[in-house]
Amino acid sequence: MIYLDSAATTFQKPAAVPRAVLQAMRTMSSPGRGGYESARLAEETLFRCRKSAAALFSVPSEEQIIFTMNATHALNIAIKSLVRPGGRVAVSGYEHNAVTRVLHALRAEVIVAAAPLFSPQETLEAFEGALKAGVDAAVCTHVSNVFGDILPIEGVAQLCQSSGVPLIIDASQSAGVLPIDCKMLGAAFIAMPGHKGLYGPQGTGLLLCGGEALPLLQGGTGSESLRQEMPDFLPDRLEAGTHNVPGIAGLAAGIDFVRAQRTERILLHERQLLRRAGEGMGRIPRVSCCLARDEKRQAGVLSFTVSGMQPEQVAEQMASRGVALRAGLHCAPFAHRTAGTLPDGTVRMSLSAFNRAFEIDAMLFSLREVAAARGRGEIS
Amino acid sequence: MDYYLFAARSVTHAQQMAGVLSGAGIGARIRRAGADVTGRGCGYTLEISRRSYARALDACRAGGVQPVRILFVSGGTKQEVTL
Repeated sequence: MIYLDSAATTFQKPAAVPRAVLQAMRTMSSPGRGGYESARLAEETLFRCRKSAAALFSVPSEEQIIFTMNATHALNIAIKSLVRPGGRVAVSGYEHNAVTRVLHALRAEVIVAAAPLFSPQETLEAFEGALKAGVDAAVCTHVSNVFGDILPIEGVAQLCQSSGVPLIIDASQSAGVLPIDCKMLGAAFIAMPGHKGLYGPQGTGLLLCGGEALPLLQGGTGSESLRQEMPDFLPDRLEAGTHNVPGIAGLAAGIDFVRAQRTERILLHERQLLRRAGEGMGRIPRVSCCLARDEKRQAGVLSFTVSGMQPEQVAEQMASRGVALRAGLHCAPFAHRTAGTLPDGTVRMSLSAFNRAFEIDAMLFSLREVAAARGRGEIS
Repeated sequence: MDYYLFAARSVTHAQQMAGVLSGAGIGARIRRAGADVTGRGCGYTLEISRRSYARALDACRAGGVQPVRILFVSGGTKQEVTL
């Protein structure tokens, strides 16, 4: 299989990741629950992961690194900490349902700072306007999960700071690929999955806390057990219940991989493959893709369509040829509305450090076959 | 033997203190602690030798990871040290 769906989850992991998961299952018990060897090993593993994440994302203290189940879990904590029911929030035009469904459930008034694809200046202007409306918080994805558009997050962060609006950054597609400096951005929260660009196992995520947070769950933390309130300090305040120790052990190995490879190198590699794919698609009749003119505005995600075919049909045909792509709305109807690709959506190709040029060439060969078959009426 | 206990608010805080102390060349063992030490139920402490106490406190302060409470343990009796 040629796996090109890393925006959903990176399927190929560094060998150290499954090894760390297995090692944790064999040797570690619950952290923060005992003074014996297996508990101590678990505690050390968690701390090592926090330390590594703090170094990668320039987080001042390991206590600000919160383990979550995924980015959705992290975003729920962040949004529910800042947005009261019925509150007003500014969001980019490219948010995922992990953001917008939470806001919908809170009956929040959502002001969409919509701007065309790959238009940083217009994005900033749209945010500036949205912030003037007086909002409780702003939420901005760093990279669109549908189009790979890199939003001008530093500029958005500056606008929020000067307006005194707390910012939540969804780094689901950027963590491990783009530099993220928590101190410099000054965001209230940065949410990210562990299983995408950080190469950890599914069921892992991180929340980088820069502000006051409310617990989403209440329960045991192994600390201050006499009190019935959740602890008022991080990370315990947000980490009720037993941790996913094997997952976190794998995540630590994944982060080590990213730090050793360096995000700049991973981004360059993905960009080279993305250009190869985008330029190749440009030469296939019936295929249109959303390739940024300025390559610096796009991370390793590329959306495309085949004229006369539903995206799901294209993905199915490609899957039957051994190419894993994702089709449809990618849980991001706001992004498709902004880009004008509703109601059908697109087919999405997304990359990781493990993809190679020959896989892109094989994908293009199959796509040419599919598009040609449609042109001949062999696929209806 | 007399020693000091540096109480932490969490295991993560204890690990941060241990890291700072290790960087300053001071060995410290992380130990579980009960309500008699934390005053609030389960918790963690670092055991610091009497000889290293002053340097350890300085290092923790400089590293921004001060203990939440310090106890002096002598002959099995614990006495809180005013910070």
